[in-house]
Amino acid sequence: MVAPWNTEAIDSQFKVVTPENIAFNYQVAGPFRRLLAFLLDLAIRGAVILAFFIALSCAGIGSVFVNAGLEDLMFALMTLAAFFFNWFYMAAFEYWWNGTTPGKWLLNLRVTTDEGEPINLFQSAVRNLFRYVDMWPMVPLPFAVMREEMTPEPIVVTFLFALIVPIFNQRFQRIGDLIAGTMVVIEDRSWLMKIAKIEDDRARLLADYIPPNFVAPRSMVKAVATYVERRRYFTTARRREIARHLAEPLLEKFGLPADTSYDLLLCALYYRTFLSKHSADGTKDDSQLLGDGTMREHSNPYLATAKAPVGAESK
Amino acid sequence: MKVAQLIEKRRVYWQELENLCAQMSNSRKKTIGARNIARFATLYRAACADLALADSYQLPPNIVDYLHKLVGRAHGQLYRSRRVDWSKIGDILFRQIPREIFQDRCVQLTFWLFWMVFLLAGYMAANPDRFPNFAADIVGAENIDMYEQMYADDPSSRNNGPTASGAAFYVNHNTGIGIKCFVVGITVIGGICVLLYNAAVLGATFGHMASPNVSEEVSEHFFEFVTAHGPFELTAIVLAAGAGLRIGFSLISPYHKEESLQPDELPEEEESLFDKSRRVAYERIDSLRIGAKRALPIMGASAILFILAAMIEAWISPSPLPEQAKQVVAIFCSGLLMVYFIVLGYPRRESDAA
Repeated sequence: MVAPWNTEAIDSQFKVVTPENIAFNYQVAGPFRRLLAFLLDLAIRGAVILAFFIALSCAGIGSVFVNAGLEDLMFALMTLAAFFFNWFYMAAFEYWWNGTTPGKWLLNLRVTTDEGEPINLFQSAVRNLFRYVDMWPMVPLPFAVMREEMTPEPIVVTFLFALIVPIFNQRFQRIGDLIAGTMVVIEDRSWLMKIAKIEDDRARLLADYIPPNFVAPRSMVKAVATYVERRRYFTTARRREIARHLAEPLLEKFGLPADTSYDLLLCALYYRTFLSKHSADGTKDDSQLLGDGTMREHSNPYLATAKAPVGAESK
Repeated sequence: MKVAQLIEKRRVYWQELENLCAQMSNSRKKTIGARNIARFATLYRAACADLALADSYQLPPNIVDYLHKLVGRAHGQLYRSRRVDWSKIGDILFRQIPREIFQDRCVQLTFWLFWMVFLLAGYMAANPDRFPNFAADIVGAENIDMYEQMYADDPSSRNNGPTASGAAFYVNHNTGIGIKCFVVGITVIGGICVLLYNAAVLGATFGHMASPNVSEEVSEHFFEFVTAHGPFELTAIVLAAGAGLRIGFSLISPYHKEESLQPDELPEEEESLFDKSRRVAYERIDSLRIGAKRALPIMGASAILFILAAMIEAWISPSPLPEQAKQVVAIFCSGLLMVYFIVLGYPRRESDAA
């Protein structure tokens, strides 16, 4: 029963191997996103109880009960409803909604087992009963005056356990999670991101200058792709600064002029790898013919200082 | 083939899978139809294959991320949790749980602790000549005054007779206390402290009510009110504390007796050839999980007892029934508990062999 701890990753990715023998990553949710979900659930609970009481008092449902002589039954139902709301609201939702509560659903969170499978009734019950422990340590109100004014249970719940226990394990598990063997993952219902389009013609042209036999190593492809997908958030100077580290040695390697725009070079590399009709192994597609031989001799059109229409927007 | 084209081609299927996921999470499986489910399975497998190949296709990282999310989402829809098997509930309730409770060392420990302290406190509070002010020290003088006022009248003549709202109140209040008692048990010391505190307070209250300091009328009313639901409620406290301790102890000592383990929790076959009753040590986190698995049925039994006790407390204890009837109820309840824990729970030969 050794849990498959993901020892390699120090980010919050957790690897799950499915019965189809495919490994995919879940992203484990951190304490603060979960805190938000918890507060949302708390607010929803409060709102429902409030709505319930308003319905009882204003909408006349209460007086219907009283007129029928069922006042006692009404109070009984209310107390029981409060009891189940208190202790079993989360557990019930997590069981029936496949690991989500309304708050979790809004924040794209889901509870799964350690192995990434859906939780069962036992697990949802245990992990939610132990929410009581999360409130620890409970400290009495500090000042005697305050204690005297608030008679019934003059206690502050600090929720320190809920914050401290998750940071000592890799999957941000609360005490209840540890006991039940569950974790909370982020399940983005995200849309498919498109491949970044390189609209700047100069990048496409520059791609032709990259030697046809050059095959970018895997990690470089990753770096370039990440850069190009995010470059629209950066200013020109920032782009240059970031791209420099990768582009400078590449320019040297390709024998291109050293004043070529670093940003354009990476875009070109991206274009070459993902978009052009060169296949990834470097063989050139014959249909791709660009009649731009003249430009090659005259000047370097890819100057970093050229007033670039920063039109190489990617989307 | 260029990567962009490849993605364009596959994207149709991914989006279809995405839509099916959304449909499945919104509605029940039956309304989706067999064809869609079969389609879902096909698309899921295709997406898995795409994910596996993504690296060798050198897909851009955001596409790979998307595929991870998509496969994770579909996986969550494909594998749903196993439903509770309600047909087995009788077997679990009347065969497994009593045996487990009878054998559980933690429940035995809490049983002895609770009753020792309860009786001791009761004895000390009932003899105010020898231990003056004992009850007031333990329970608090104000609380004692309050109790004496509460039971000044006949329980049946008090304004709150048997009511449904009373039952609900007792369920809410007492089961809440029980759950807290159970949860605090994870700290062992805390659990034992809560248990001992409850035992001392209850014992002192009982003892004080029986002491010569209290007028005979009040003590009679008190015992008339308390007898009927006492057996269930006190047992329920013992069980809740025992279940909590079970979890706490499994954290402190990660050993479990082999015969008390489920087959899927046992280590590899060849390791367990030696000795039939050896103890198996686990990683603490796994031990905690096993402890929780064993504690939850005990807590379930305790919750049932709390609810039964609340029902009796609300409907029978304050009712105008004669005192003898309430005593009969108490005897009947105690008998039921005896049968449940001792007759049903006594370790059998066939369970040893199994």
